[in-house]
Amino acid sequence: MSRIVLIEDNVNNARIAQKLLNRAGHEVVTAEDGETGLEKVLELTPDIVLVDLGLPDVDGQTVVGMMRQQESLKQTRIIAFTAWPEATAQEMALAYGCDGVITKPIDTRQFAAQVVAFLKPQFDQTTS
Amino acid sequence: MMPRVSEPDYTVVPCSRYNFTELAEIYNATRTDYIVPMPMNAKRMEQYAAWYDVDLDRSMVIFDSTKAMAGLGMLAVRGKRAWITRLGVLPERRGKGLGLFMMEELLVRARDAACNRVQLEVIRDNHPAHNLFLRLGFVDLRELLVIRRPPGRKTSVIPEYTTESLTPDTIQARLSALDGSQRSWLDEPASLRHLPGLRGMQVTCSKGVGLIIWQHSMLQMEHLVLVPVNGTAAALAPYLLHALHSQNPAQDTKLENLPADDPTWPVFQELGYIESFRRIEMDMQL
Repeated sequence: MSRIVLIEDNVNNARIAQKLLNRAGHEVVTAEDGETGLEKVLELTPDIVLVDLGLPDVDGQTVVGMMRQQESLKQTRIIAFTAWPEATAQEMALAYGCDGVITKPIDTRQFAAQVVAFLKPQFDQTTS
Repeated sequence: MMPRVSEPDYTVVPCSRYNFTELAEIYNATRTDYIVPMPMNAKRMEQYAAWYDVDLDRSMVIFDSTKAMAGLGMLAVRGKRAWITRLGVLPERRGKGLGLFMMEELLVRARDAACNRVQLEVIRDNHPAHNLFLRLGFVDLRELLVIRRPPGRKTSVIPEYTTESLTPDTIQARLSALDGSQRSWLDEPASLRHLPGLRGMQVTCSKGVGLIIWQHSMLQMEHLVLVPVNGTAAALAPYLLHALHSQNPAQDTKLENLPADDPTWPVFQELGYIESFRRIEMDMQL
């Protein structure tokens, strides 16, 4: 079981994603904006952070950039969760230090497995 | 110019009748499927209206023939120039001419405000919106970049330079003296002077003297302005940006609407900036 923080302003998207991850046995804490999300991540040191790049207060890239400067979050996988075109999302997300991108709309059958796949050793920041 | 859409069953209500929470919700609802979703909260919507001189009385929320709320469009006015912004129709209400109707209404309101020029930007690859604006008589002026620089990027070694912080009064004076004719609405002097958290420094180097002014918040630097005092922007830019980033290594940086052909763009790239997306700036004489 993993602890996941999901930073997503769209309530419906968040609910669906949370439900899918809960069903797969993971603990999920949600936040609707970047500042709240950052607070929860720093408080909980989750295994995974799923962050929407389009947030209503401070955007997702800024949130990721801040998280990636925290020593305490070196082991945390950060995944951009976005409706941006895939090529743009990949370049931006990786430039900011994300471990990967999951594009919306999600495939509900694959989503939980896609998220947890980022826990595999090849995504370890300390070895990159 | 296309003939006006006649649709008496559409209703428009001034944005001034709504609070910023409501306006943000409406705006966000129109952009859920946008190429680059950039939602806003109430605070950001309020700031946007204030910083960019949005006229909320002349801006509108539109209701379709079923009386359902369908979209939003905003008009900003500065003297004889107007700027159309935040235009959007709810995804489920599209295809009925609501965007065209709002644009025609906004152009009428710009004329009523004694404006003789209207500007706007559209995200490149938003073909339906771009085509709508072209059909109305807008012309493409240039492409504008939105660029980002993640924190923690290494800055290259460059020859020595000295820096000196600018006072708030000096910053405001410099911004007032800036030539805004080549700057977009978001970063022309009238916008920049509204911004809280402005900081600046003067950099003296072998290429001359220049200023860099920016808006600073805890997490981010935005609205960068490079001002050559003695020398050229392209020659001074490496020093100005090196000074900015070496003194603020933990800040994320965003710059909107750098002209795609600006001679400083390669300098930004060398310092770790990447292109996020592009806009097409358009305008029309009324």
